[in-house]
Amino acid sequence: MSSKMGIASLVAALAAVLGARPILEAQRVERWHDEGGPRFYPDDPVWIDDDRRDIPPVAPFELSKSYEFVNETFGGSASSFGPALNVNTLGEVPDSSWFVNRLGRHEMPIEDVLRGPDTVDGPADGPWLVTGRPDAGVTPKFTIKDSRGDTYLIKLDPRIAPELPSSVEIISTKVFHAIGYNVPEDYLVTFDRARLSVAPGARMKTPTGNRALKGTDVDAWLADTPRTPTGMIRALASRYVPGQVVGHFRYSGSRSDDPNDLYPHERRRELRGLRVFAAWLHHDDARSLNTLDSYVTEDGRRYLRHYLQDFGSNLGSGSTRAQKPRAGYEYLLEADTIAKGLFSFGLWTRGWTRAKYPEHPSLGNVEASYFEPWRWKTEYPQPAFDQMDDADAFWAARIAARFTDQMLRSIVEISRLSDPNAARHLADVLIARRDKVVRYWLTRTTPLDAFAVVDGRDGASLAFENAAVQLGIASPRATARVRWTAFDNQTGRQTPAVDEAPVTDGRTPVPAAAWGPRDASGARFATAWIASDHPDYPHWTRPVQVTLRQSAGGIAVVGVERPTGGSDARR
Amino acid sequence: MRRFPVLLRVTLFLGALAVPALAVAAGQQDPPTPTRSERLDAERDARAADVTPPERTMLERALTWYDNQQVMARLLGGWHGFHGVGGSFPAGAGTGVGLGYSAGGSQGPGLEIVAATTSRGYKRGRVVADIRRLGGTPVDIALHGQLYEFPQQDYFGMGMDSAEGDRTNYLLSSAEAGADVRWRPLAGLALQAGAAWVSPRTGEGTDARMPTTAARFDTGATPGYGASVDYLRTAIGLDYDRRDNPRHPHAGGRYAIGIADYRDLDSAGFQRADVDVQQYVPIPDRYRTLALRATATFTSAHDGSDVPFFYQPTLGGASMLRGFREFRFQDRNSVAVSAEYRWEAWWALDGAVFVDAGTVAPERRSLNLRDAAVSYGVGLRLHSNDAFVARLDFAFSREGFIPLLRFDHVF
Repeated sequence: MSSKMGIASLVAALAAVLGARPILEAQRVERWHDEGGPRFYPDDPVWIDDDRRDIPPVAPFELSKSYEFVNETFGGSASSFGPALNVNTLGEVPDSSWFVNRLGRHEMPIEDVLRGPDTVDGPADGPWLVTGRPDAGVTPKFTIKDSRGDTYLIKLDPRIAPELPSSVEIISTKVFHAIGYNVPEDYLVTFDRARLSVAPGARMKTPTGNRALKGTDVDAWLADTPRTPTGMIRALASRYVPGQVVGHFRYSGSRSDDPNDLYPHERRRELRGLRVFAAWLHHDDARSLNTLDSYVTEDGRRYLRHYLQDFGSNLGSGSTRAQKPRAGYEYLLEADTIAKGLFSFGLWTRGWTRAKYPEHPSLGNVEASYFEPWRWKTEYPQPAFDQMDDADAFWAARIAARFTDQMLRSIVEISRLSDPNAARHLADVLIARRDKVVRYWLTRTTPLDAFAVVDGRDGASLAFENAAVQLGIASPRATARVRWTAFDNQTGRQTPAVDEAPVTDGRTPVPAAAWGPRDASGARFATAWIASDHPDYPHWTRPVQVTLRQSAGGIAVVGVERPTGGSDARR
Repeated sequence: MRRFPVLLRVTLFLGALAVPALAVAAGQQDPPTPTRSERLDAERDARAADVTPPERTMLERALTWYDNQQVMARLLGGWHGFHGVGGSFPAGAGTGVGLGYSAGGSQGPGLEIVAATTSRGYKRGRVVADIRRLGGTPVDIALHGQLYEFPQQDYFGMGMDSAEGDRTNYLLSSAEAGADVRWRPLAGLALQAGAAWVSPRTGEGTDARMPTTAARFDTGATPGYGASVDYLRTAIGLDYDRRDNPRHPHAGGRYAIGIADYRDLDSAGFQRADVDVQQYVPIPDRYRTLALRATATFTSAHDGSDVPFFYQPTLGGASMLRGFREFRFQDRNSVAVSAEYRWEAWWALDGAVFVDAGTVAPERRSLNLRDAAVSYGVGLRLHSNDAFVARLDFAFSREGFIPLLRFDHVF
């Protein structure tokens, strides 16, 4: 054992002996911290967070986009700080009204990924009745009702960027759904003007009030819309989400009129980890106004379901034009960069000005060469993204890694870019950006993963793998070592039990001496502290804590805690 | 045998008494272990008993109202075609306010009516009725008329030797009516021709800070002062605009020439030619731009006529020779150049350093930039993603320092 390893082991053992406070924050509301209680409950790890309990009707509550910008830019709305709270004891996000584990936990055939949230084939055949025009957002759009009675939001592509917003919205919807988020059903449609007629009584909001909608309004909306070679109009049809929309969710705090909303949103892993996916898909417009809360009824229970929506400015799109080169690299308002920009007289230039973009109107400003995941930003500070830690990022990066190249190429294919070269380029960029986010965030923490108890002739063993090595991100020169502590579930005390030893072949026996005292439920626990040594990633020596539970049901992995905040490495 | 059953009975009795006590004790030591789901359910039950409607802070309420009322859209877009205007008054006119009405779109008939005034008593009323893209062709036609009264126009005398201390002011008013036709045969290229009746008048200025023009200068030697002459103005022009974004250019150029003939009822009058060349050079990208401009104006009078002083070219003010006052130099001919280095300090703000030089002369051949007045300075340009909004220039010259806040681009 090297002297460094020896010192590290000594420090870790000392911490364990002193009963260092566990950092595990699995599915705990904040006030429990003062109440003690066992660290692991008999039903851990809980994979379903039952926040779909029946609640009384919730009144609509609109958020202000101006307020959010001002508040987040000049103050910040976060009031709860620390690791994610809504994760289970394995560090995973349970299924809830916010998130449903899909590709990250289950096998998903490509057909399922491509189907996404869709439950129909888009607007039904027959005429479309134009019912109005929403006043939110910048994309030209209007609402229709099809012959089935379903309402869709029709979002038009701009003439200067044909196919751009509609294609990125389709791609983003499929990706976000496969990850596990709730998203609207989005469909690509082509139609001609003759299919549209104004619904009786339809009205539209104008800056000066509210007036009856006229056919000439529809003509005007369509006047600057690009046409296909056959004279048709291509657009995105976004089906209204089920239930009654009651506003948007914030990326901080919780909704005071929703009893199910226990965790401050900035402490929800799926919202913090969304930063990884947003960087990948260049979703710089990830703000409250681009979310939805809908009061839905399901299996006789009424609750709020939370959606992400409006991806029209993702990837290379800026909704009505190509994305601004600044987007993703600089907040709308940053005092220090403004000062630097002003007083340097142009001698200092922002790095992102050197990014090279494809000169294709349907691709916009999207690229992967200059893209740096750790620098990527939203339009203004986002409280959940700001609190993303290495464990949140690892969770997200591991899901991103589950998207195969073939999946991504197929997703781009269904966005129906008419230029095959553009489609190929976009898929290449999407793949390259995925590789970058996975490479960066998977290696920020010790990437040991896939922990499982395996029974053998000599008793139970703990098996695991190095996710970075498995994915080919890191060279296979990684080694692992483990030490064991006996864990007392009632007190949280860790007692050194077995000295550190190397691990071969990703499997280590569970020593009999590692078990702690039985808790009230009769279970006993042992914790493996597994570190990895890799010449390129020195911070992997920070161990992952893996806790096993032995109960009447056998031995199972019940807890995984990843080290966070120990690396400044930017690879 | 008989004693044993008794002992057994006593033991069973005591045991029976002890079992409930032990059971109670056991229950106190080991209550049923709760599950995490039960604890979370209990939390949600407690929260359900204490739900409250979401609340907004005062700032949030104000900004929610601002969003819902579409305040910016109303300010910029107006109300049923009515909107606020500044009036497009010359620099030094004071703060302008006015009401405009616009109807029509980028094609077909349109109407614009403007009425505005300023804190210094400037007034302008203008009506333009036009047909854009006549019959779907790249031709616009317009009928226009306007009345204006500028009561505090500066006049310093003729030539480069005029003195700053000779600043005077006069009133300039005019009534005009005419028609224009504009043809755009190619992208960026516009040819324009028009005719108008113009009726300029001059009089006593109202700015009490300085003498009137008539009090300081020999009005007999100031052509056009006090005259009551109406003109028929005919004009042609060519404008080739290759700027990447005319509202906020970073590359390309604009090249314009206009020739106008002013003729009174006696067929006397003058001609005026204006040349304006602008070039924008990215260094090497849109984030740094060298903006260059050269202008020249030449006038020539018909036999027996002169060019009214208020139709002569001037230098100084917000757009050329910014370190000098508006109308600081004037004569029959002028030439001026300007160079401005702009860099993007922020997506909505550019910094700028600039230098202007220009001269005026009674004869074209007398124009010599070696005699030019020079001004220089620094500035800020506020803009949106693709359109200029406002500028603040700090301009210096041998005559001092002038701050300029303008809502029109210098070029």
